[in-house]
Parts: sequence; structure tokens; C-alpha cells
Amino acid sequence: MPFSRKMKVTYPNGLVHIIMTLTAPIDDRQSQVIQFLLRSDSEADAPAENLIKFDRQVTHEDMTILAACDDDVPLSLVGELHMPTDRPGLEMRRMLGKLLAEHGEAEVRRGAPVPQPLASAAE
Amino acid sequence: MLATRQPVLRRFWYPVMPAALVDQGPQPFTLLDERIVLWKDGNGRYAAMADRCPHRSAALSKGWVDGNALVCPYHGWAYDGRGICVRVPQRPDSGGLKGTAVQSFACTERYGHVWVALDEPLAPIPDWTEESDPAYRRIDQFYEPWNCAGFRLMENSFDNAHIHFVHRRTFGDINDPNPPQPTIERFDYGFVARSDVPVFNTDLQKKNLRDDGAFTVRHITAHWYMPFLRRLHIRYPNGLDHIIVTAATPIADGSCQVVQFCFRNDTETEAAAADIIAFDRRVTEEDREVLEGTDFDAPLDMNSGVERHMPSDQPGLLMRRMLLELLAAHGETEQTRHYAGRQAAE
Repeated sequence: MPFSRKMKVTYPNGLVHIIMTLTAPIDDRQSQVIQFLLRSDSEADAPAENLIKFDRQVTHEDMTILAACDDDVPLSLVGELHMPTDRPGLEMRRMLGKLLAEHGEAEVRRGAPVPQPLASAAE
Repeated sequence: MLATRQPVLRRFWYPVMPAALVDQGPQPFTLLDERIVLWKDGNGRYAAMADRCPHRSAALSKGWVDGNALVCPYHGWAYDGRGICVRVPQRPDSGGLKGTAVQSFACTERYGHVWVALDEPLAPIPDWTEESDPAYRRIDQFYEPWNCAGFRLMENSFDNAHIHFVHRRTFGDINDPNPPQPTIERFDYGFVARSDVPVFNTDLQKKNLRDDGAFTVRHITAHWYMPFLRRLHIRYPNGLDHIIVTAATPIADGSCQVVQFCFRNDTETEAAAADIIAFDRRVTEEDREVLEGTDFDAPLDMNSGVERHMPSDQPGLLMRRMLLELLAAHGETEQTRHYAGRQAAE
């Protein structure tokens, strides 16, 4: 939580392919995507260049769609329509909502009043 | 007036894109700050809808057309031209979703362009008989965004005084800066202004007009169709018609999409379309240079003191008055940053 994932894929022959995608929020609209792989084989088995090439194509396909989505994602389940396969994303919304509540925050959406920054201790 | 804050402006037809572009696949456009997608279904019908899938907000304009449905590129949810979800591939037995999922807008094709009205239109798209008259040809000229308010381009079109300064290098005569006053007749949602304007005749125009004189006269019949559409009919002494249709389709408060085509009653052999476009290109660039430097929040209240006026501004002042009347008739007041909190009708 909130913006990193580790995806471990184990293939039938025992090969382990772990994708780490670490996403640093620059601002509401932009994210810095940092991705690296952990593989249980050697450069001689599969050159890094080829592995990157395939994942490059896949991430471009995602980026094209995601860059055009609304960056102000509602945590509440109203505002978007859902289907059963959305369960992981819905669980993320629920858990982020809980995190905010535990820290005395409410979800802030665009167009809603922005909370004032806390006064510093010196004031 | 800030166009995006006047809901009544959603009740007019705007040409938003050449049909040929939409024929290539779904296209995005922003009309009055509303992101829309334009597409053509398998039956050849054009449709305009919100460019946003209600599932995860993906841009439908990045999707594709499958039969009579627009397919979202993210998870394949498919919509018909009314915005009804007809297919959710992950729920194949559901037959889609009940009710309207995506907002749709009035959409039709005229004059080779796709037109859209965001809310129920108050006036029809004008009928211009030259479109089907074999004596005339239509030449598509421009399709490009300008960083100015649509209103600024409209008042410019009816302002005969700007010609001799802005267009001093193309057809204006800076030594004869005081133009004749047009006669103006109002009609529902617009007016027609008539005037005869003496202009300078450049070498390119001598060829385009087939008139060797150093000067000529433009017999002008200019229609303003509220809020951002005009038709400028120029008849030259030799009977040549050059009829320019220009829309300043509002993208946002400070930008508009210029859509321009012309009708001519001559042939390609007499005047090449490329030469006709070349001259009008120079003229519109001259306008653009000035208009992009103007305040997009044009005040409609002419007594506000924000702008000064002169007699040749009469068409632009009438536009302001008629727009204020339109706003009042629809229970709106002018939205502007100039005299915030003041009622424009005061």
C-alpha cells in the first residue's frame, strides 16, 4: 500500500519470474513508474534485453489506456460501475478508505473543499 | 462571457470534425469543456457520447467500432450510439446493462462535417442550398484550434474596420480606414448584415477573382448564426461568389476549433482550390495573430466600461445585446470575471 506491487509468476518448469512495479506519486496526475525483474534463470538462458522488450510492449499497452483515465479515482463504490472481476480493485478501495479513517482523514475529491494545512508548532 | 459557464450555449449545433476523420475510427473532441467521442456505427450513423467508460473511466475514443457498437479498449464493454451498454464480455449472459450507461448527444452529418448539440438544440443547422447546387463546389479549408474565444472570431467577421489594419497586406487599404456601415436585419437566433466594401486586389486575388483591377468591391451578405457560426457571402463585380462558412466551435472559455469551408461558383480550372485556400490562409493567419492576443472573457455588457466602442462596432454590439437577451430568456446572467457579482442587466 498504496502504489507498489510484487507479482510472482511460477511457470510449470519451475521458472520464477517476479515483476516489481514501484510507483511513486509525483502529483495527482503523474506517477513515476520504476520496474525491475527478479528471475531464477541466467543471462545465457534468457537475455535481459528480450525480457525487457516483451514487458515494454505490455506496459505501453497499459499506459495508453491508463493515461487517459480520470486520475481522481473514487474510493466509494458509487461513481463507477463494477463487475465481479473488479474484486481486487474494490478491496484496494476499501483498504485505502480504512487507512484514511484510521488516520483521521476523509477522502478528498476534486471540487471538494481541500483541508487546510496544519499550523506548524512554532505558530 | 465565459462560454462554458452559460448552459444555454449547449443548446446549439456545432460542427466539430470533418466526417472523413471520424470515418477513420473513434475520435476525441472537447466541446464546451465536455470530453466527447465521435464515431460512426456499422450502419453509417454518426454518434457523439461522453468519452468516458462508466466502469474505470477509460477514454472510449481509444477503443474501436464493432458492428453498431463502440468497444471500450480497457475491458471490452460495448455501447450503442445511444450510450446503452449492450455487452459486458465478462458477463456474456447479461446482454449488457440496464439503462443508459454513457451520456449521448445529438449528432448528425452536414456539409461534410459531424455536428453535435450537447442539449436540445434551439435552432436547426442552417440550410445552404449551394451544397446541392451543381453550379457550386465546396472547398474544405481549415480545421484547427485557436487560442481565443469563439465570440472574438465572430465579432471580427462582421467588423469591416479591422480589414484595413489587420489585412493591410492582403486586401485592406490602410489609407481608407473608415468603412461603410452595414444594414442589419435580425432573424431568430442570428442576423444578416449587408455592405459593399472597397478592397485592394493583390496579384494572387487577381488570379483567383479573374479581375485585373488594382481595387475591387466586395458585395457582402454576412449571416451570423448564434452563437459561433457565420456565413460570409462575398459577391464580386464579375458575378463570382466566394461564400465562406466559418465556425468557431467552443472547446473551452479560451479556445475554439476553427472549421472553415467555402462554396464557389467557378471551376478548378478557373481557380485552383489550393490558390483559394492559400489566400484565405494568409487572411486567417492575420486574424489569428491579433485574436489570440485578445481577452477571451469578452464582456457582453457594453456599458461596463471594460471595453471602448466606435460606430463600426455596431454588429459586434448587436451580438452582445442578442446574447444577453438569449441568456435572460433562459434565466441566466452573464458569467464573467470582469464584473463579478454584478447583474449584467443592471
